[in-house]
Amino acid sequence: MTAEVEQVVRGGLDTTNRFAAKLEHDPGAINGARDGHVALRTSVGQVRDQAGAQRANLANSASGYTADRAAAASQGLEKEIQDLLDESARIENAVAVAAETLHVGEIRNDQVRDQIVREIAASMKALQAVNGIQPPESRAAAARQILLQLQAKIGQLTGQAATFSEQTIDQLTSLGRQLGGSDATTTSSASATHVPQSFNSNGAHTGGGGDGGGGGFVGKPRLPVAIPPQPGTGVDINLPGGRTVKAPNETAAKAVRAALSQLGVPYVWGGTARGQGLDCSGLTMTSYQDAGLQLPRTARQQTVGAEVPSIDQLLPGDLVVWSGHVAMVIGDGQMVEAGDPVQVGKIRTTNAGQQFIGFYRPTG
Amino acid sequence: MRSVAEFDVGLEAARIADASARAGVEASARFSRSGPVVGKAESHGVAVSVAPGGLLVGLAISRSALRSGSDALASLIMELSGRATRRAGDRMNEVLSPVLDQDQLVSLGYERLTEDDPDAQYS
Repeated sequence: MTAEVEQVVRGGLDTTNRFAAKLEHDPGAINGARDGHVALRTSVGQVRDQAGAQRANLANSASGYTADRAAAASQGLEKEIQDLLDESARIENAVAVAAETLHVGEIRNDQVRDQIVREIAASMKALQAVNGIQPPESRAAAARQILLQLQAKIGQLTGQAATFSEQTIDQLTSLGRQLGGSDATTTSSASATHVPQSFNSNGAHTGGGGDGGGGGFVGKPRLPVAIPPQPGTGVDINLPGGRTVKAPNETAAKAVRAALSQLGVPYVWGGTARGQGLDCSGLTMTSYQDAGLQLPRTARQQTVGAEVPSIDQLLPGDLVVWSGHVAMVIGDGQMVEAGDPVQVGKIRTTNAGQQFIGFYRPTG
Repeated sequence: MRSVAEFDVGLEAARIADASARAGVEASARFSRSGPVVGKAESHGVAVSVAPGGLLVGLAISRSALRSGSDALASLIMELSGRATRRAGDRMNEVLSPVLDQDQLVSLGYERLTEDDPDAQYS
């Protein structure tokens, strides 16, 4: 019995296992590449410091044309080294994103695999249970039906796994393109290479993940940083609790009011029918739509506008985005989201093991 | 979160085999208490018995039923075997509900009949 079950399990998990095997090699290589870059940056940084110290010595202990020229050359060298350091930091960060993308792919792959194992377990139990049916023809028919249904479910789930792995590979490919197109080996370019803000601020975001799975980010877009509200701006919103808060602009205020008007509407997967049934991104999308701003349809795509760098800078209308969920900040430390039903709760960054991506201001 | 490398197919298979063996033992104990599961329906001198899933295992037609004409008799048999199949499914659901999930039972056609269902056994 066990041997047969094992065969079924192995067969059912073939797709997820092949993807898992592929992943098993890649993170190692990518982590190695990242560590290598860190080491390179450290050693190049030491060279720069030495050059700087020597230049200072030279300037202190000598004078005259030759010394000036030597100091100027040293300064040029320091500049080049700094450029190299900046470039290296950029590559290092991109490698970190790649590693994270793979990690997310791995988790989703694991989830699909768990689901497949559960389906197999349920079907095996059913097969044993229908053994008691008489006559044997009826028993055989029931068994055949169980196996056919199992086959269909595994097909559906491995289709999902294939989609996940495709997405992961797409994300990695696009990262590769971003790096490759940036002339990464040039160190003498006049303009300094900036490390994208979204990479920099990521460290602050990942701290929020409380579930051991870590924070991280899924294909995080590079966006400008949201600016704080300026004096004399802001639009009042009255919250259900009686407090009044200020949204950064009219659109955000309208979106919050539109979202609050949906409190109590039941959760419907894929739902965009206001007043009848909404899913999380359906709530945020249709609420901003009412305010005259079109957002993309899915939670993960709603990382638009400007990125809000920290939780204390959130304003009404900002979106809290996870890999598979989104909520809208309403102010006073609260947010509205389409759970079942649409409801108001405290702002948080954890969501049932999902990856927290960040805070976004669509109107920023 | 379990990592890729830690997944042990052999162990998982053993666990599944173990759980299903237990389900098998429990189900057969329940079948031996309940007796063979058969769905029955009877009307106008025709009696039909089917096994779970709808296989016809018994059919009795009285002389009076023959007088109703072949068309009426054929449609009566069809109607009764459909009813008997639903009753067999209801019994299967009753017997196996402590062993298998409702979803699983329903997907096999073993659905509970509500009391007000016209096909329910003792209405």
